[in-house]
Amino acid sequence: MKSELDAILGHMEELNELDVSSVPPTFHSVSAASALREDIVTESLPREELLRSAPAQEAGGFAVPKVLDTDG
Amino acid sequence: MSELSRLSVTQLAAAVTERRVSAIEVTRAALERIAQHDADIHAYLYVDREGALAAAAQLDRLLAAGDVSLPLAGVPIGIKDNLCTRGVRTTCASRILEGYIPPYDAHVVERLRAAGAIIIGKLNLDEFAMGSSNENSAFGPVRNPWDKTRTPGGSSGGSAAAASLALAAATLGSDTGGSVRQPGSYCGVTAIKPTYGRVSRYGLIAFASSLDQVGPLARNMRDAARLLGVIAGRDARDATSVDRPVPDYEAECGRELRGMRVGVVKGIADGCDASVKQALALAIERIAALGCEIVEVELPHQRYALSVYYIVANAEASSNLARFDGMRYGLRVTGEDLRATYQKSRAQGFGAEVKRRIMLGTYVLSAGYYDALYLKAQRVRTLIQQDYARAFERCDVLLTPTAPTPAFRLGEKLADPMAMYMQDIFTLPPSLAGIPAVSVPCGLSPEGLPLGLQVCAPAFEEARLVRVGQAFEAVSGFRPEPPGF
Repeated sequence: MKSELDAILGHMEELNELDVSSVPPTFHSVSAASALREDIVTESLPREELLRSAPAQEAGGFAVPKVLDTDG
Repeated sequence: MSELSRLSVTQLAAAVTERRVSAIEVTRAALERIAQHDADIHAYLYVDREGALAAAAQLDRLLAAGDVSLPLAGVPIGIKDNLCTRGVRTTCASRILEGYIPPYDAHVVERLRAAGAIIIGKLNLDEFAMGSSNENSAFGPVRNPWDKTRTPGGSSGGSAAAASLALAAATLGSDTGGSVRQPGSYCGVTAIKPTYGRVSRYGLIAFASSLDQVGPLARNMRDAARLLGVIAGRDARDATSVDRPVPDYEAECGRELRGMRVGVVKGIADGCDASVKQALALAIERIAALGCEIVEVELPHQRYALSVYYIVANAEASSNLARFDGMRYGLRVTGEDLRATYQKSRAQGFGAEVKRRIMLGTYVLSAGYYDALYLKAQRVRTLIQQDYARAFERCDVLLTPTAPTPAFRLGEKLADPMAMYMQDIFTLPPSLAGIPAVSVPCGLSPEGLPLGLQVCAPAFEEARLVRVGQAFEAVSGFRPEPPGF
Protein backbone atom coordinates (compact mmCIF):
# COMPACT_ATOMS: atom_id res chain seq x y z
CA MET A 1 0.00 0.00 0.00
CA LYS A 2 2.80 2.45 0.91
CA SER A 3 4.62 2.19 -2.44
CA GLU A 4 1.31 2.62 -4.28
CA LEU A 5 0.51 5.78 -2.31
CA ASP A 6 4.04 7.07 -3.01
CA ALA A 7 3.57 6.49 -6.74
CA ILE A 8 0.24 8.37 -6.77
CA LEU A 9 1.54 11.30 -4.68
CA GLY A 10 4.68 11.39 -6.83
CA HIS A 11 2.55 11.77 -9.95
CA MET A 12 0.62 14.64 -8.34
CA GLU A 13 3.85 16.63 -8.04
CA GLU A 14 3.41 17.52 -11.73
CA LEU A 15 1.05 20.28 -10.55
CA ASN A 16 4.12 22.15 -9.29
CA GLU A 17 4.96 22.95 -12.93
CA LEU A 18 2.09 25.45 -12.91
CA ASP A 19 1.98 28.84 -11.24
CA VAL A 20 -1.66 29.21 -10.29
CA SER A 21 -1.28 31.69 -7.44
CA SER A 22 -3.50 34.19 -9.26
CA VAL A 23 -6.10 31.66 -10.48
CA PRO A 24 -9.25 31.34 -8.37
CA PRO A 25 -10.21 27.82 -7.26
CA THR A 26 -13.28 26.04 -8.70
CA PHE A 27 -15.09 24.21 -5.93
CA HIS A 28 -18.32 23.94 -7.93
CA SER A 29 -18.16 23.52 -11.69
CA VAL A 30 -21.72 24.72 -12.29
CA SER A 31 -22.82 27.41 -9.89
CA ALA A 32 -26.28 26.98 -8.47
CA ALA A 33 -27.36 30.38 -7.25
CA SER A 34 -29.89 30.69 -4.42
CA ALA A 35 -30.16 26.98 -3.91
CA LEU A 36 -31.61 27.40 -0.44
CA ARG A 37 -35.23 26.40 -0.03
CA GLU A 38 -37.92 28.11 2.00
CA ASP A 39 -37.72 27.25 5.68
CA ILE A 40 -40.93 25.27 5.87
CA VAL A 41 -41.68 22.04 7.69
CA THR A 42 -42.05 19.07 5.36
CA GLU A 43 -42.82 15.45 6.01
CA SER A 44 -39.87 13.29 7.01
CA LEU A 45 -39.34 9.55 6.80
CA PRO A 46 -41.02 7.38 9.45
CA ARG A 47 -38.79 6.46 12.40
CA GLU A 48 -39.43 2.70 12.08
CA GLU A 49 -38.22 2.70 8.48
CA LEU A 50 -35.08 4.65 9.35
CA LEU A 51 -34.30 2.23 12.15
CA ARG A 52 -34.84 -0.84 10.01
CA SER A 53 -31.23 -1.12 8.88
CA ALA A 54 -29.67 -0.17 12.25
CA PRO A 55 -27.15 -2.70 13.58
CA ALA A 56 -28.72 -2.24 17.03
CA GLN A 57 -31.67 -0.24 18.32
CA GLU A 58 -33.21 0.55 21.65
CA ALA A 59 -36.21 2.60 22.75
CA GLY A 60 -36.83 4.03 19.29
CA GLY A 61 -33.22 5.10 18.73
CA PHE A 62 -29.88 3.82 17.50
CA ALA A 63 -28.11 1.81 20.20
CA VAL A 64 -24.41 2.75 20.23
CA PRO A 65 -21.43 1.87 22.41
CA LYS A 66 -20.87 4.01 25.49
CA VAL A 67 -19.50 7.39 24.42
CA LEU A 68 -18.74 9.12 27.74
CA ASP A 69 -16.92 7.40 30.54
CA THR A 70 -19.12 8.49 33.46
CA ASP A 71 -20.71 6.53 36.26
CA GLY A 72 -23.66 8.74 36.74
CA MET B 1 -39.74 -14.55 -25.22
CA SER B 2 -36.07 -14.00 -25.90
CA GLU B 3 -36.97 -11.79 -28.89
CA LEU B 4 -39.03 -9.58 -26.58
CA SER B 5 -36.13 -8.84 -24.25
CA ARG B 6 -33.93 -7.69 -27.13
CA LEU B 7 -36.30 -4.94 -28.25
CA SER B 8 -35.25 -1.34 -27.73
CA VAL B 9 -36.64 0.93 -25.02
CA THR B 10 -38.81 2.86 -27.46
CA GLN B 11 -40.11 -0.31 -29.14
CA LEU B 12 -41.01 -1.88 -25.79
CA ALA B 13 -42.74 1.25 -24.47
CA ALA B 14 -44.81 1.48 -27.66
CA ALA B 15 -45.76 -2.21 -27.60
CA VAL B 16 -46.83 -2.06 -23.94
CA THR B 17 -48.67 1.26 -24.33
CA GLU B 18 -50.58 -0.06 -27.35
CA ARG B 19 -51.22 -3.27 -25.38
CA ARG B 20 -49.71 -5.48 -28.06
CA VAL B 21 -47.86 -7.10 -25.18
CA SER B 22 -48.35 -6.89 -21.42
CA ALA B 23 -45.85 -5.48 -18.96
CA ILE B 24 -45.93 -8.85 -17.19
CA GLU B 25 -44.84 -10.65 -20.38
CA VAL B 26 -41.99 -8.18 -20.93
CA THR B 27 -40.89 -8.50 -17.30
CA ARG B 28 -40.98 -12.31 -17.41
CA ALA B 29 -38.91 -12.29 -20.59
CA ALA B 30 -36.34 -10.00 -18.97
CA LEU B 31 -36.15 -12.16 -15.84
CA GLU B 32 -35.74 -15.27 -17.99
CA ARG B 33 -32.94 -13.68 -19.99
CA ILE B 34 -31.11 -12.67 -16.81
CA ALA B 35 -31.48 -16.21 -15.44
CA GLN B 36 -30.10 -17.58 -18.71
CA HIS B 37 -27.11 -15.27 -19.19
CA ASP B 38 -26.08 -13.52 -16.00
CA ALA B 39 -24.43 -16.44 -14.19
CA ASP B 40 -21.45 -15.96 -16.55
CA ILE B 41 -21.48 -12.14 -16.47
CA HIS B 42 -22.41 -11.27 -12.87
CA ALA B 43 -23.87 -7.90 -13.83
CA TYR B 44 -26.61 -8.17 -11.19
CA LEU B 45 -26.03 -8.09 -7.45
CA TYR B 46 -29.74 -8.57 -6.87
CA VAL B 47 -32.69 -9.36 -9.13
CA ASP B 48 -35.95 -8.02 -7.70
CA ARG B 49 -38.22 -10.66 -9.18
CA GLU B 50 -41.21 -10.08 -6.89
CA GLY B 51 -40.97 -6.29 -6.97
CA ALA B 52 -40.68 -6.22 -10.76
CA LEU B 53 -43.61 -8.60 -11.33
CA ALA B 54 -45.78 -6.68 -8.87
CA ALA B 55 -44.99 -3.36 -10.56
CA ALA B 56 -45.71 -4.89 -13.98
CA ALA B 57 -49.07 -6.27 -12.81
CA GLN B 58 -50.00 -2.87 -11.43
CA LEU B 59 -49.05 -1.17 -14.68
CA ASP B 60 -51.09 -3.67 -16.70
CA ARG B 61 -54.14 -2.87 -14.55
CA LEU B 62 -53.56 0.85 -15.08
CA LEU B 63 -53.27 0.40 -18.84
CA ALA B 64 -56.40 -1.79 -18.96
CA ALA B 65 -58.37 0.88 -17.08
CA GLY B 66 -57.88 3.62 -19.64
CA ASP B 67 -55.76 5.64 -22.01
CA VAL B 68 -52.41 6.08 -20.35
CA SER B 69 -49.28 7.25 -22.11
CA LEU B 70 -46.03 6.71 -20.27
CA PRO B 71 -42.62 7.14 -21.93
CA LEU B 72 -41.17 4.00 -20.33
CA ALA B 73 -44.33 1.86 -20.02
CA GLY B 74 -43.27 -1.66 -19.04
CA VAL B 75 -39.59 -1.11 -19.88
CA PRO B 76 -37.28 -3.21 -17.67
CA ILE B 77 -34.48 -1.03 -16.30
CA GLY B 78 -31.49 -2.12 -14.21
CA ILE B 79 -30.15 0.26 -11.57
CA LYS B 80 -26.56 0.66 -10.40
CA ASP B 81 -26.39 -0.49 -6.80
CA ASN B 82 -25.28 2.88 -5.44
CA LEU B 83 -28.75 4.30 -6.15
CA CYS B 84 -31.24 3.85 -3.33
CA THR B 85 -34.30 1.72 -4.03
CA ARG B 86 -37.00 1.75 -1.40
CA GLY B 87 -37.27 -1.61 0.37
CA VAL B 88 -34.69 -3.18 -1.93
CA ARG B 89 -31.15 -3.82 -0.69
CA THR B 90 -28.54 -1.31 -1.78
CA THR B 91 -24.90 -2.20 -1.14
CA CYS B 92 -22.55 0.01 -3.22
CA ALA B 93 -20.80 -3.37 -3.71
CA SER B 94 -19.38 -2.90 -0.21
CA ARG B 95 -19.42 -5.14 2.86
CA ILE B 96 -20.02 -2.05 4.94
CA LEU B 97 -23.54 -1.69 3.48
CA GLU B 98 -24.41 -5.37 3.46
CA GLY B 99 -27.97 -5.73 4.64
CA TYR B 100 -28.86 -2.06 4.14
CA ILE B 101 -32.46 -1.53 3.02
CA PRO B 102 -33.06 2.11 1.98
CA PRO B 103 -36.27 3.67 3.30
CA TYR B 104 -36.61 5.80 0.15
CA ASP B 105 -36.11 5.80 -3.63
CA ALA B 106 -33.45 7.92 -5.29
CA HIS B 107 -34.96 10.79 -7.29
CA VAL B 108 -34.03 9.10 -10.58
CA VAL B 109 -35.67 5.85 -9.47
CA GLU B 110 -38.85 7.73 -8.54
CA ARG B 111 -38.80 9.36 -11.98
CA LEU B 112 -38.36 6.02 -13.76
CA ARG B 113 -41.22 4.42 -11.83
CA ALA B 114 -43.50 7.39 -12.55
CA ALA B 115 -42.65 6.99 -16.26
CA GLY B 116 -43.83 3.37 -16.18
CA ALA B 117 -40.42 1.66 -16.00
CA ILE B 118 -40.06 -1.68 -14.23
CA ILE B 119 -37.05 -1.76 -11.89
CA ILE B 120 -35.66 -5.21 -12.54
CA GLY B 121 -32.66 -5.31 -10.19
CA LYS B 122 -29.48 -3.81 -8.82
CA LEU B 123 -26.27 -3.80 -10.82
CA ASN B 124 -22.70 -4.55 -9.79
CA LEU B 125 -20.06 -1.81 -9.56
CA ASP B 126 -16.67 -1.02 -8.13
CA GLU B 127 -17.07 -0.52 -4.38
CA PHE B 128 -18.58 2.95 -3.82
CA ALA B 129 -18.06 3.57 -7.58
CA MET B 130 -14.28 3.75 -7.05
CA GLY B 131 -12.55 1.96 -9.88
CA SER B 132 -12.19 1.49 -13.61
CA SER B 133 -12.54 -2.28 -13.96
CA ASN B 134 -15.28 -3.47 -11.59
CA GLU B 135 -12.65 -5.57 -9.83
CA ASN B 136 -13.14 -3.52 -6.65
CA SER B 137 -16.61 -4.99 -6.06
CA ALA B 138 -16.71 -6.80 -2.72
CA PHE B 139 -18.96 -9.38 -4.38
CA GLY B 140 -16.73 -10.27 -7.36
CA PRO B 141 -16.18 -8.58 -10.71
CA VAL B 142 -18.46 -8.33 -13.74
CA ARG B 143 -17.26 -10.02 -16.94
CA ASN B 144 -17.34 -8.27 -20.30
CA PRO B 145 -19.99 -9.89 -22.54
CA TRP B 146 -17.66 -9.45 -25.55
CA ASP B 147 -14.87 -11.46 -23.93
CA LYS B 148 -15.43 -12.97 -20.51
CA THR B 149 -11.74 -12.82 -19.63
CA ARG B 150 -11.89 -9.04 -19.84
CA THR B 151 -13.19 -6.23 -17.66
CA PRO B 152 -16.46 -4.49 -18.56
CA GLY B 153 -14.83 -1.27 -17.31
CA GLY B 154 -15.89 0.64 -14.26
CA SER B 155 -17.27 1.73 -12.11
CA SER B 156 -20.68 1.15 -13.78
CA GLY B 157 -19.48 -2.21 -15.17
CA GLY B 158 -22.69 -4.04 -14.30
CA SER B 159 -24.79 -1.29 -15.91
CA ALA B 160 -22.75 -1.42 -19.14
CA ALA B 161 -22.59 -5.21 -19.36
CA ALA B 162 -26.32 -5.57 -18.67
CA ALA B 163 -27.27 -2.98 -21.29
CA SER B 164 -24.91 -4.54 -23.83
CA LEU B 165 -26.27 -8.08 -23.48
CA ALA B 166 -29.89 -6.90 -23.09
CA LEU B 167 -30.12 -8.09 -19.50
CA ALA B 168 -32.31 -4.98 -19.19
CA ALA B 169 -33.68 -2.72 -21.93
CA ALA B 170 -31.42 0.02 -20.56
CA THR B 171 -29.71 0.84 -17.28
CA LEU B 172 -28.70 3.70 -15.02
CA GLY B 173 -25.15 4.25 -13.85
CA SER B 174 -23.29 7.04 -12.13
CA ASP B 175 -20.29 8.93 -13.44
CA THR B 176 -17.76 10.77 -11.27
CA GLY B 177 -14.72 10.68 -13.55
CA GLY B 178 -15.86 8.46 -16.41
CA SER B 179 -17.84 5.73 -14.69
CA VAL B 180 -20.63 5.46 -17.28
CA ARG B 181 -18.59 6.47 -20.35
CA GLN B 182 -15.55 4.19 -19.97
CA PRO B 183 -17.59 1.00 -19.34
CA GLY B 184 -19.93 2.18 -22.09
CA SER B 185 -16.94 2.23 -24.41
CA TYR B 186 -15.66 -1.20 -23.27
CA CYS B 187 -19.06 -2.87 -23.65
CA GLY B 188 -20.24 -1.12 -26.83
CA VAL B 189 -23.18 0.87 -25.46
CA THR B 190 -24.20 4.53 -25.52
CA ALA B 191 -23.57 6.19 -22.15
CA ILE B 192 -24.37 9.79 -21.24
CA LYS B 193 -22.77 11.79 -18.41
CA PRO B 194 -25.08 14.81 -18.05
CA THR B 195 -23.99 18.31 -17.03
CA TYR B 196 -23.32 18.57 -13.30
CA GLY B 197 -26.66 19.72 -11.89
CA ARG B 198 -28.80 18.42 -14.77
CA VAL B 199 -29.94 15.34 -12.79
CA SER B 200 -30.71 15.23 -9.07
CA ARG B 201 -28.26 13.28 -6.92
CA TYR B 202 -30.86 12.68 -4.19
CA GLY B 203 -30.50 9.01 -3.22
CA LEU B 204 -27.25 8.50 -5.12
CA ILE B 205 -24.85 7.39 -2.39
CA ALA B 206 -22.19 10.10 -2.50
CA PHE B 207 -18.63 9.49 -3.69
CA ALA B 208 -17.39 12.94 -4.80
CA SER B 209 -20.23 15.40 -4.45
CA SER B 210 -18.90 18.08 -6.83
CA LEU B 211 -18.50 15.52 -9.65
CA ASP B 212 -21.13 12.78 -9.26
CA GLN B 213 -23.91 12.60 -11.88
CA VAL B 214 -26.40 9.87 -12.76
CA GLY B 215 -26.55 8.87 -16.43
CA PRO B 216 -28.26 6.37 -18.73
CA LEU B 217 -26.67 3.47 -20.65
CA ALA B 218 -28.53 2.03 -23.63
CA ARG B 219 -28.06 0.14 -26.88
CA ASN B 220 -28.85 3.15 -29.03
CA MET B 221 -28.89 6.93 -28.74
CA ARG B 222 -32.66 7.36 -28.96
CA ASP B 223 -33.16 5.06 -25.97
CA ALA B 224 -30.49 6.91 -23.96
CA ALA B 225 -32.10 10.24 -24.89
CA ARG B 226 -35.50 9.07 -23.70
CA LEU B 227 -34.09 8.00 -20.33
CA LEU B 228 -32.20 11.28 -19.95
CA GLY B 229 -35.40 13.21 -20.58
CA VAL B 230 -37.14 11.25 -17.83
CA ILE B 231 -34.46 11.66 -15.15
CA ALA B 232 -33.35 15.27 -15.86
CA GLY B 233 -34.71 18.33 -14.08
CA ARG B 234 -34.78 20.22 -10.83
CA ASP B 235 -35.40 18.42 -7.56
CA ALA B 236 -35.59 20.46 -4.36
CA ARG B 237 -33.90 17.66 -2.43
CA ASP B 238 -30.59 18.23 -4.27
CA ALA B 239 -29.58 21.86 -3.85
CA THR B 240 -27.11 21.53 -6.75
CA SER B 241 -29.74 20.38 -9.24
CA VAL B 242 -30.47 23.22 -11.63
CA ASP B 243 -33.86 24.67 -12.48
CA ARG B 244 -33.72 24.80 -16.27
CA PRO B 245 -36.24 23.49 -18.77
CA VAL B 246 -35.56 19.94 -20.00
CA PRO B 247 -35.57 19.97 -23.81
CA ASP B 248 -37.03 17.17 -25.94
CA TYR B 249 -33.78 15.23 -26.36
CA GLU B 250 -35.38 12.59 -28.56
CA ALA B 251 -36.40 15.26 -31.07
CA GLU B 252 -32.67 15.68 -31.82
CA CYS B 253 -32.57 12.20 -33.37
CA GLY B 254 -32.61 12.41 -37.14
CA ARG B 255 -31.63 16.07 -37.32
CA GLU B 256 -28.97 17.12 -39.79
CA LEU B 257 -25.48 18.08 -38.66
CA ARG B 258 -24.79 20.36 -41.61
CA GLY B 259 -23.03 23.54 -40.50
CA MET B 260 -22.06 22.31 -37.07
CA ARG B 261 -18.53 23.09 -35.91
CA VAL B 262 -16.83 20.00 -34.52
CA GLY B 263 -13.71 20.45 -32.41
CA VAL B 264 -10.79 18.04 -32.46
CA VAL B 265 -7.53 18.21 -30.54
CA LYS B 266 -4.38 17.57 -32.56
CA GLY B 267 -2.47 14.51 -31.40
CA ILE B 268 -4.98 13.69 -28.66
CA ALA B 269 -4.90 9.98 -29.44
CA ASP B 270 -1.09 9.76 -29.61
CA GLY B 271 -0.11 7.12 -27.13
CA CYS B 272 -3.46 5.35 -27.45
CA ASP B 273 -3.90 1.83 -28.77
CA ALA B 274 -3.59 1.85 -32.60
CA SER B 275 -7.21 0.71 -32.95
CA VAL B 276 -8.40 3.69 -30.87
CA LYS B 277 -6.39 6.13 -32.95
CA GLN B 278 -7.75 4.66 -36.16
CA ALA B 279 -11.36 4.59 -34.94
CA LEU B 280 -11.17 8.25 -33.91
CA ALA B 281 -9.75 9.31 -37.29
CA LEU B 282 -12.49 7.40 -39.09
CA ALA B 283 -15.20 8.88 -36.86
CA ILE B 284 -13.95 12.42 -37.55
CA GLU B 285 -13.96 11.66 -41.28
CA ARG B 286 -17.54 10.34 -41.17
CA ILE B 287 -18.81 13.30 -39.16
CA ALA B 288 -17.05 15.75 -41.49
CA ALA B 289 -18.77 14.04 -44.41
CA LEU B 290 -22.14 14.93 -42.84
CA GLY B 291 -21.39 18.57 -43.57
CA CYS B 292 -19.64 19.56 -40.35
CA GLU B 293 -16.72 21.91 -40.18
CA ILE B 294 -13.78 20.29 -38.36
CA VAL B 295 -12.03 22.84 -36.14
CA GLU B 296 -8.74 22.22 -34.39
CA VAL B 297 -8.80 23.34 -30.75
CA GLU B 298 -6.38 23.10 -27.84
CA LEU B 299 -6.88 21.82 -24.32
CA PRO B 300 -3.44 22.59 -22.86
CA HIS B 301 -4.29 21.75 -19.25
CA GLN B 302 -6.05 18.46 -19.93
CA ARG B 303 -2.84 16.59 -19.09
CA TYR B 304 -3.15 17.66 -15.43
CA ALA B 305 -6.67 16.27 -15.08
CA LEU B 306 -5.57 12.97 -13.56
CA SER B 307 -3.70 14.64 -10.69
CA VAL B 308 -6.47 17.19 -10.11
CA TYR B 309 -9.11 14.49 -10.13
CA TYR B 310 -7.39 12.17 -7.68
CA ILE B 311 -6.88 15.06 -5.27
CA VAL B 312 -10.37 16.56 -5.51
CA ALA B 313 -12.37 13.32 -5.76
CA ASN B 314 -10.46 11.62 -2.94
CA ALA B 315 -10.78 14.68 -0.70
CA GLU B 316 -14.54 14.65 -1.19
CA ALA B 317 -14.69 10.87 -0.80
CA SER B 318 -12.80 10.91 2.49
CA SER B 319 -15.35 13.36 3.83
CA ASN B 320 -18.42 11.59 2.39
CA LEU B 321 -17.39 8.13 3.54
CA ALA B 322 -16.95 9.30 7.15
CA ARG B 323 -20.66 8.56 7.60
CA PHE B 324 -20.05 4.81 7.42
CA ASP B 325 -19.23 4.27 11.06
CA GLY B 326 -21.34 1.24 11.91
CA MET B 327 -23.77 3.19 14.07
CA ARG B 328 -26.94 3.84 12.07
CA TYR B 329 -26.85 1.28 9.25
CA GLY B 330 -24.64 -1.35 7.70
CA LEU B 331 -21.87 -3.39 9.24
CA ARG B 332 -20.92 -2.95 12.90
CA VAL B 333 -17.98 -4.90 14.28
CA THR B 334 -17.97 -4.38 18.03
CA GLY B 335 -14.64 -3.54 19.71
CA GLU B 336 -13.74 -2.83 23.33
CA ASP B 337 -14.85 0.81 23.09
CA LEU B 338 -16.42 3.25 20.63
CA ARG B 339 -13.17 4.07 18.87
CA ALA B 340 -12.28 0.41 18.43
CA THR B 341 -15.78 -0.25 17.08
CA TYR B 342 -15.34 2.49 14.45
CA GLN B 343 -11.92 1.14 13.52
CA LYS B 344 -12.98 -2.49 13.27
CA SER B 345 -16.18 -1.71 11.37
CA ARG B 346 -14.34 0.39 8.78
CA ALA B 347 -11.32 -1.93 8.58
CA GLN B 348 -13.54 -4.93 7.82
CA GLY B 349 -16.20 -3.04 5.89
CA PHE B 350 -14.11 -1.22 3.27
CA GLY B 351 -11.95 -2.79 0.55
CA ALA B 352 -8.37 -1.84 -0.34
CA GLU B 353 -9.11 0.76 -3.05
CA VAL B 354 -11.65 2.58 -0.89
CA LYS B 355 -9.17 2.67 2.00
CA ARG B 356 -6.44 3.95 -0.32
CA ARG B 357 -8.68 6.79 -1.49
CA ILE B 358 -9.85 7.72 2.01
CA MET B 359 -6.23 7.92 3.13
CA LEU B 360 -5.17 10.02 0.14
CA GLY B 361 -8.17 12.29 0.56
CA THR B 362 -7.50 12.78 4.25
CA TYR B 363 -3.86 13.50 3.47
CA VAL B 364 -4.52 16.18 0.82
CA LEU B 365 -6.97 17.93 3.18
CA SER B 366 -4.61 17.84 6.17
CA ALA B 367 -3.23 21.11 7.51
CA GLY B 368 0.24 20.82 5.96
CA TYR B 369 -0.96 19.84 2.48
CA TYR B 370 -4.25 21.65 1.99
CA ASP B 371 -2.71 24.62 0.14
CA ALA B 372 -0.03 22.66 -1.70
CA LEU B 373 -2.33 19.91 -2.94
CA TYR B 374 -6.07 20.44 -2.44
CA LEU B 375 -6.33 24.17 -3.09
CA LYS B 376 -3.78 23.99 -5.89
CA ALA B 377 -5.78 21.23 -7.58
CA GLN B 378 -8.94 23.33 -7.37
CA ARG B 379 -7.07 26.21 -9.05
CA VAL B 380 -5.84 23.96 -11.86
CA ARG B 381 -9.42 22.79 -12.20
CA THR B 382 -10.28 26.38 -13.13
CA LEU B 383 -7.69 26.23 -15.93
CA ILE B 384 -9.19 22.99 -17.24
CA GLN B 385 -12.63 24.61 -17.25
CA GLN B 386 -11.25 27.72 -19.02
CA ASP B 387 -9.71 25.50 -21.71
CA TYR B 388 -13.20 24.25 -22.56
CA ALA B 389 -14.71 27.75 -22.45
CA ARG B 390 -12.13 28.86 -25.04
CA ALA B 391 -12.55 25.73 -27.17
CA PHE B 392 -16.35 26.10 -27.26
CA GLU B 393 -16.03 29.64 -28.60
CA ARG B 394 -14.82 27.98 -31.78
CA CYS B 395 -16.79 24.73 -31.88
CA ASP B 396 -20.21 23.33 -30.91
CA VAL B 397 -19.06 19.88 -29.81
CA LEU B 398 -15.69 18.30 -29.25
CA LEU B 399 -14.53 14.76 -30.12
CA THR B 400 -12.03 12.59 -28.25
CA PRO B 401 -11.63 8.86 -27.69
CA THR B 402 -13.53 7.64 -24.60
CA ALA B 403 -10.67 5.43 -23.39
CA PRO B 404 -7.08 4.91 -24.56
CA THR B 405 -7.51 1.15 -25.12
CA PRO B 406 -10.26 -1.40 -25.61
CA ALA B 407 -11.24 -3.50 -22.55
CA PHE B 408 -8.20 -4.96 -20.82
CA ARG B 409 -7.97 -8.37 -19.17
CA LEU B 410 -9.28 -8.93 -15.65
CA GLY B 411 -6.30 -8.82 -13.26
CA GLU B 412 -4.05 -7.05 -15.76
CA LYS B 413 -3.83 -3.70 -13.98
CA LEU B 414 -4.62 -4.66 -10.40
CA ALA B 415 -1.03 -4.31 -9.16
CA ASP B 416 -0.58 -0.82 -10.61
CA PRO B 417 -3.17 1.79 -9.55
CA MET B 418 -1.61 4.49 -11.77
CA ALA B 419 -1.99 2.33 -14.88
CA MET B 420 -5.61 1.70 -13.91
CA TYR B 421 -6.27 5.42 -13.35
CA MET B 422 -4.82 6.19 -16.82
CA GLN B 423 -7.88 4.53 -18.41
CA ASP B 424 -9.81 7.66 -17.43
CA ILE B 425 -7.58 10.35 -18.97
CA PHE B 426 -10.19 11.36 -21.56
CA THR B 427 -13.25 11.17 -19.32
CA LEU B 428 -11.82 13.07 -16.32
CA PRO B 429 -11.51 16.58 -17.85
CA PRO B 430 -15.23 16.97 -18.77
CA SER B 431 -16.15 15.76 -15.26
CA LEU B 432 -13.87 18.35 -13.63
CA ALA B 433 -15.35 21.07 -15.85
CA GLY B 434 -18.91 19.87 -15.15
CA ILE B 435 -19.77 19.64 -18.86
CA PRO B 436 -21.83 16.85 -20.46
CA ALA B 437 -20.29 14.06 -22.54
CA VAL B 438 -21.43 10.86 -24.19
CA SER B 439 -19.61 7.71 -25.26
CA VAL B 440 -20.94 6.36 -28.55
CA PRO B 441 -19.82 2.98 -29.96
CA CYS B 442 -17.53 3.67 -32.93
CA GLY B 443 -16.13 0.33 -34.07
CA LEU B 444 -14.33 -2.83 -33.04
CA SER B 445 -10.65 -3.44 -32.40
CA PRO B 446 -8.88 -6.21 -34.40
CA GLU B 447 -9.55 -8.61 -31.50
CA GLY B 448 -13.28 -7.81 -31.78
CA LEU B 449 -13.66 -5.48 -28.79
CA PRO B 450 -15.86 -2.37 -28.87
CA LEU B 451 -14.39 1.14 -28.96
CA GLY B 452 -16.03 4.41 -27.94
CA LEU B 453 -16.11 7.94 -29.31
CA GLN B 454 -16.53 10.65 -26.67
CA VAL B 455 -18.55 13.69 -27.70
CA CYS B 456 -18.39 16.68 -25.31
CA ALA B 457 -20.58 19.80 -25.31
CA PRO B 458 -20.89 23.00 -23.25
CA ALA B 459 -22.88 22.86 -20.00
CA PHE B 460 -26.58 22.00 -20.50
CA GLU B 461 -26.14 21.26 -24.21
CA GLU B 462 -26.92 17.53 -23.94
CA ALA B 463 -29.20 17.99 -26.96
CA ARG B 464 -26.08 18.44 -29.12
CA LEU B 465 -24.66 15.16 -27.81
CA VAL B 466 -27.83 13.37 -28.83
CA ARG B 467 -27.90 15.03 -32.24
CA VAL B 468 -24.27 14.29 -33.11
CA GLY B 469 -24.22 10.87 -31.46
CA GLN B 470 -27.36 9.68 -33.20
CA ALA B 471 -26.28 11.02 -36.60
CA PHE B 472 -22.96 9.24 -36.20
CA GLU B 473 -24.71 6.04 -35.12
CA ALA B 474 -26.92 6.22 -38.21
CA VAL B 475 -24.10 6.86 -40.67
CA SER B 476 -21.70 4.30 -39.20
CA GLY B 477 -24.41 1.64 -39.31
CA PHE B 478 -22.58 -0.06 -36.46
CA ARG B 479 -24.84 -2.12 -34.19
CA PRO B 480 -22.64 -3.54 -31.48
CA GLU B 481 -24.05 -6.88 -30.41
CA PRO B 482 -21.83 -9.10 -28.26
CA PRO B 483 -21.45 -12.82 -29.02
CA GLY B 484 -24.57 -14.67 -27.88
CA PHE B 485 -26.79 -11.60 -28.25
